[in-house]
Amino acid sequence: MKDHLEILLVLLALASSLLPAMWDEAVNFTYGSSYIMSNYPEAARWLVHNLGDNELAIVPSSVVFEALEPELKGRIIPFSDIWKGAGVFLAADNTIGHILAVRRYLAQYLRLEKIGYILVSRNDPYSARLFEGEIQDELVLLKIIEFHSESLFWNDPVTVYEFTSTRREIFNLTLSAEPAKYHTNGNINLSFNESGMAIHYEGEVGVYIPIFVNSSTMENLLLTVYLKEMSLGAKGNVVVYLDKDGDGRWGGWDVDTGVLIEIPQKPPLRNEILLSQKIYKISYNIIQVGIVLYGTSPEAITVDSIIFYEI
Amino acid sequence: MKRTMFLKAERIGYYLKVYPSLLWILLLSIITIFSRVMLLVLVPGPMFYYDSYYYFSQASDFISKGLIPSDDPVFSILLGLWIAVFRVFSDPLIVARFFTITLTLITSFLVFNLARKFLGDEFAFTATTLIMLEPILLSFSITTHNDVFAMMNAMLSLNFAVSQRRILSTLGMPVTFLLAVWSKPFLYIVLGIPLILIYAYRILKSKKSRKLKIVVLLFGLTVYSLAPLSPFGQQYYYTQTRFDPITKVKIFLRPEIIQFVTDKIFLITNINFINITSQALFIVGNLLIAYAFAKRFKRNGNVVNQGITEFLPLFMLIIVYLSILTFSVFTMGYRIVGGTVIPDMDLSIRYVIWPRFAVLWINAFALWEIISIIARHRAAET
Repeated sequence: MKDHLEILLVLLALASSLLPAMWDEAVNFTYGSSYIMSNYPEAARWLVHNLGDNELAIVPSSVVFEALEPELKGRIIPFSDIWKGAGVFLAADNTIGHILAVRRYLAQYLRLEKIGYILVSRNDPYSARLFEGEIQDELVLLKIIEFHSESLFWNDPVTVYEFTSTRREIFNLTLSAEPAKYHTNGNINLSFNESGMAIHYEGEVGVYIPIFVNSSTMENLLLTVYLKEMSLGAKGNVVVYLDKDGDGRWGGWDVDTGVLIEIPQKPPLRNEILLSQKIYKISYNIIQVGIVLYGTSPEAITVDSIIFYEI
Repeated sequence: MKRTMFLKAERIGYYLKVYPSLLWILLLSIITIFSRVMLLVLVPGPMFYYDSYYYFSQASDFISKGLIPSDDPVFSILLGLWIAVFRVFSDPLIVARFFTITLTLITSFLVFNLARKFLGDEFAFTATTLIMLEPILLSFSITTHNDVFAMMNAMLSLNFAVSQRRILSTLGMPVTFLLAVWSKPFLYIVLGIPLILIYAYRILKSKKSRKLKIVVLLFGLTVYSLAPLSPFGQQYYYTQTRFDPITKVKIFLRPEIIQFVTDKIFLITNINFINITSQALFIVGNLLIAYAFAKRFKRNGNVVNQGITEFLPLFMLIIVYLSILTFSVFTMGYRIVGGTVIPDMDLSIRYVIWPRFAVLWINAFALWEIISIIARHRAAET
């Protein structure tokens, strides 16, 4: 017994303090980790009961759904397939441009295939990245139900959506190539590259690009402007001009919409921003878009694209 | 009937006398299995994260469609076979969880075997119990993650590396080492370097000619260094990251990242006193190991004339320090904003299973040595 005194001491020391603490930590950690996925079983069961016979669903982490409900095999599509279809890799430096490309592909896919539901989870980066922030485009989803556990532990809600969008892209002005016609005023220098139209300017300047959007018969429009590579002092507005006198060109009795998109200060993290604005009861065709900029010192901004959607 | 029972009891007594380790192994098995089953009963919720289901799905596809799994196929195939055999007893998702529990049980035997070679059964039992109750390992052994499989293979390779049986040390070690690396690629550095040191020591100590020793050592080092440059290694590396290893060292080897990783490794429980005690024991372990080597070097003039198991604490230290460096540089997530790489300062907690195994070993060693010193001191006094 004397020989084993030290062993007994060690075991007692461990048993009295370390082991219970480690056990508590293990239980807490297991609870926490298990809770992250706690909404998936319920969401998978819901999907089995609600997905129509010939319908498919787009889901995050498809293997989880397949493992929980083997009946779903062959009836679910992972979000990663949508990214693959759009030709975009999920990466640390995905831009808004990449996200928009995947969303555009998803919207087309939803129109072509018989998709019953779209399930979104923050835990799955392929679905989370598409729906973080408030991106306004043709992809409009209607929330059906959210699976969320009330718990002290963080869990990953699974939200079920339906695709209900009547939004359609009706005009896309991508500025990686020089437009056929445009004019500028003020101290301004323009160049065109794959990032878009790079504007270097000082003071108050404007770029005006004649376009034609057949919007007279449309009730409402959504305008989105994708800006990047902004210098700190770059400020301004995007203005839309309407063909009130019906002559197909800017001038005479034509007016601007009064809809201004104010360009905010340089975004702190990713140097890019997607602005959007709804234009209601338009009644006329759009014949010009203008980018009016001002700044006290030499400034720079790049306009990637200007897109109009019917809503 | 009574006589048969008596004979059986007599035989058990005989075996315990001949193999005293059996009692400790039995106790260890009870602790390992009971803790896991208890945890499963307490937290019967879903498995963790995406990967558990991914391996389960691969295993299911293997048994139902004969599809060879693409990721960690050995683990997934074994899991599939396990499910195929035992699914008559319960739901496949439950059956699958007992597969990793069984792997942990095997791992506990392997850790025990390694530790008993160093300081005997009682130390081995203490160290292994500590390691088996480490919260993250305990937690991940009830879900179908491949971390426990990697741990088991790593322990097998360490056992083979110190084995006196030539077939195990020359064939068994490389196979199990590769299986461990296949599951967890970071083990190529963290386990690979200690294994190289063990083999270098064994080769230096062997009675072969000096020329042959140098040739074998150079050959081994060349194979180890060139393997990551093979098409397989390159393909793996560049699917995980866009940076080459040297660039990653330049980007991520920063004091704040090393500090972050070290904190993660040493925050074993949520009780600060215990974490600090563990860190203190680790530091004491460092000093004791350094002192032991200095003493032996002074006495013998070199440290080579010792058994390989004498070096086990040193290898454990190397594992801890290599883990800190490897996790800081190669496993840290990042975002790129405006061309600048910003580390996520987030380490997947599963990674810490490996360094914590070594930390707890050192803790047990330090505790053991302190108490032995006190006991010796008392004995000398009386």
